[in-house]
Amino acid sequence: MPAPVDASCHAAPGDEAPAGAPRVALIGSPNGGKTSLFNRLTGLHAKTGNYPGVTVSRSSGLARIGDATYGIEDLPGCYSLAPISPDEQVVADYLDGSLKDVEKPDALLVVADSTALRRSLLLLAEVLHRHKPTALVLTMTDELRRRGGSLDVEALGRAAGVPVVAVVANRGIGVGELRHLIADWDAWSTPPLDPPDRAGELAGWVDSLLAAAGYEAPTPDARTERIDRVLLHPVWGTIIFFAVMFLFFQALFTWAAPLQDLLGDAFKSLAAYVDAAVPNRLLAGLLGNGIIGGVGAVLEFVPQILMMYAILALLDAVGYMSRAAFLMDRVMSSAGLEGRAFVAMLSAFACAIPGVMATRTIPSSKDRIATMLGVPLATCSARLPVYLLLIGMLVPADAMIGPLSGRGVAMFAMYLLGGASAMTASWVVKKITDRTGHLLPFYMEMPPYRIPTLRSVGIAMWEPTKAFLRKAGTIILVVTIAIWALTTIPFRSDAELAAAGVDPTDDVAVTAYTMEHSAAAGIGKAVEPVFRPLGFDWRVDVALVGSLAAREVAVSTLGQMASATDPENDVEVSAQLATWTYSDGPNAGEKVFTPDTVVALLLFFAFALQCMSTIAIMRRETGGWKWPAIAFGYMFVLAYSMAFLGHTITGLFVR
Amino acid sequence: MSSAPASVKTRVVPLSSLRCGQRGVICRVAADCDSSVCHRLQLLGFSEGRAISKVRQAPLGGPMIFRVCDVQMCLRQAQADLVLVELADEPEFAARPHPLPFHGV
Repeated sequence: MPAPVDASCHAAPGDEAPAGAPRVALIGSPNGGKTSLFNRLTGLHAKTGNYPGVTVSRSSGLARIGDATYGIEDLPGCYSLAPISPDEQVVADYLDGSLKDVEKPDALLVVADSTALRRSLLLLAEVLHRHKPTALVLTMTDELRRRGGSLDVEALGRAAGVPVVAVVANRGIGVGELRHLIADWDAWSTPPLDPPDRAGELAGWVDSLLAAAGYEAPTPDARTERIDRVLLHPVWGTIIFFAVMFLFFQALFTWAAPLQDLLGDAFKSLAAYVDAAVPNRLLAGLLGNGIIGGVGAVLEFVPQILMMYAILALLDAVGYMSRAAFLMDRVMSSAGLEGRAFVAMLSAFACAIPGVMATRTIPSSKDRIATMLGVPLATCSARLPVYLLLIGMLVPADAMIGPLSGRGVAMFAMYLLGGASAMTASWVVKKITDRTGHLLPFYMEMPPYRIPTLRSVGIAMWEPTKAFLRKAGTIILVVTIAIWALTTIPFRSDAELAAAGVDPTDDVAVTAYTMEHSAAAGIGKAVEPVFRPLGFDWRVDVALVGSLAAREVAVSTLGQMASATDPENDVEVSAQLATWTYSDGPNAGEKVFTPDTVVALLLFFAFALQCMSTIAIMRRETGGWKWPAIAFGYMFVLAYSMAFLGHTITGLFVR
Repeated sequence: MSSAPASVKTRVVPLSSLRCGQRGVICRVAADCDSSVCHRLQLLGFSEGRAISKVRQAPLGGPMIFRVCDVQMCLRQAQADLVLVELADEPEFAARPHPLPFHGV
């Protein structure tokens, strides 16, 4: 047997398991410590993706033990191998080797929470029926001891007939022993007899194993009981729940903002530096405005996203997320969804991307799709700058509704609208996709409260951030370059500018002139008839085209076209916008930004899916273009109709 | 059905009708239950002979939490209706003051 090496020695990232390398799969219930163990075995080099053709996420990695490399597969958390949903079918198919392009495992590690052995050994029984080399890994043995339980690990191994090893994955205890065991996989012992076939007889089989191992069950966790008495109290629990939500948004919008501004300023000065340092104007524009400006506008959200994932990872690791799901299940069930969909909805108020990714925790694929199609309607932070600008134009600063500021109320109403429409959309999608009425049973384990390790929270917040950064580096980069090119090419020579009456030294006037005669303006004018019923003129349409990449682009595009010296300054931009008039058509000479147009624009932004990143992440999570296309289509129709409705109704009042 | 001594009266009720803090022993999963759902409930620990207690109930008819197999499991009413438990109508239950609702065991 090769000697296991230090756990820090992992295979290089991205390496495929060499042909013929043994494949080991981890099978266990959710919350059982399976993922910590997987991270321990593979280091940070896990590959995440989807199983072919389904929306079930897959993570696999490599473990290097001695001279040999092992492929490690972290199967989705499950309580049974008998599938009750198409998603669970994946685990069964994987074990049978009937998944296309995915090879079946050579050995199976059943990861069992030792504080829940009476339940988790049931899964071992089902796995043993597969007659593959199987070993049992007991996790959370420290917690078992703390709660007054005990167990003879070796005796359990003798009774079950398979190798058993105890680990505390969070702290790395027992992982070395487990690596020895994996290296020895082809010599694992097998039980002389199969466990009983009937589920009803399994309880007796489990009891006999536990009796042989001298198992003392842990007492209910006193700490958890005490905390739950408050956190799940119908009154206090609900109040605390809303306080947690408030703090969540407070953190995102207030505490992350200074960091965000700092990054934004850094990108601006970098862009200015590049603009000054590069002599070629086209190249300087591409680097400064196109790449640094565009990607910078997205990277500015990194502090917010990191903070959000940190909070979500912390709440999840501590065990609060399942409590939140418990409290919200009744509300979510009115939309035909379950409590876990709430986490996705919540995340989507920061950004639809983590919202879509959080749908992974929902076991039913129909629920997942329904949630995924609803979350982009939640009021994400990219809508915030647009709302700030438009509400600033619509509601005077001194308007009061009772003791509350009119603008604040309008903003709150937009958030409510986002939440309500997201829930409604999910409900409708669920009604349409799930006409059979066959409901999956709802069950959810409430894990004891646990103090998370820095490492596990770190990994949980870093993985999705990495995915976001990778996307900013690819899709968003390409789109921003395209939009920059559309709005700035062809470049005008100084002579041409002078002939048109534009001072070539006045950067703002040059930008405005270039944009008005750019390809984007051509597009804006071409689509003007479509959006004219909403009150939008071609300049607003250019902003809409730009916002297809990311909503917040609309603000800087409008700012640039309004010839503001600082396109990010709301007050100045809105003062300029208010003077715009229609340049042609029946309303020529009339103001563009009348209240009805502003309401229409607000509603359009509330409902339209103007976010490449969301589309990209939906494609990744669903494994195809079908659902992102449906989402984009229905949201566009919704946005257009709502904007038209808003324009017409507001028109009745103000005209 | 009852396997308890004749001197102790027992009754069989669906799991969903338990009060918070009340204990029972699972006697069967309803016969009209879909076999795959029935199997899943058993693999979650809701199998014949297991002691079970209701820990908590979410407000407005929301989900409920049970302690079974040393684990807290949350079920909706529809699933909790499928599991039948045997309650011992012991004087102990009647005499003891009811645990405060929602406050666990």
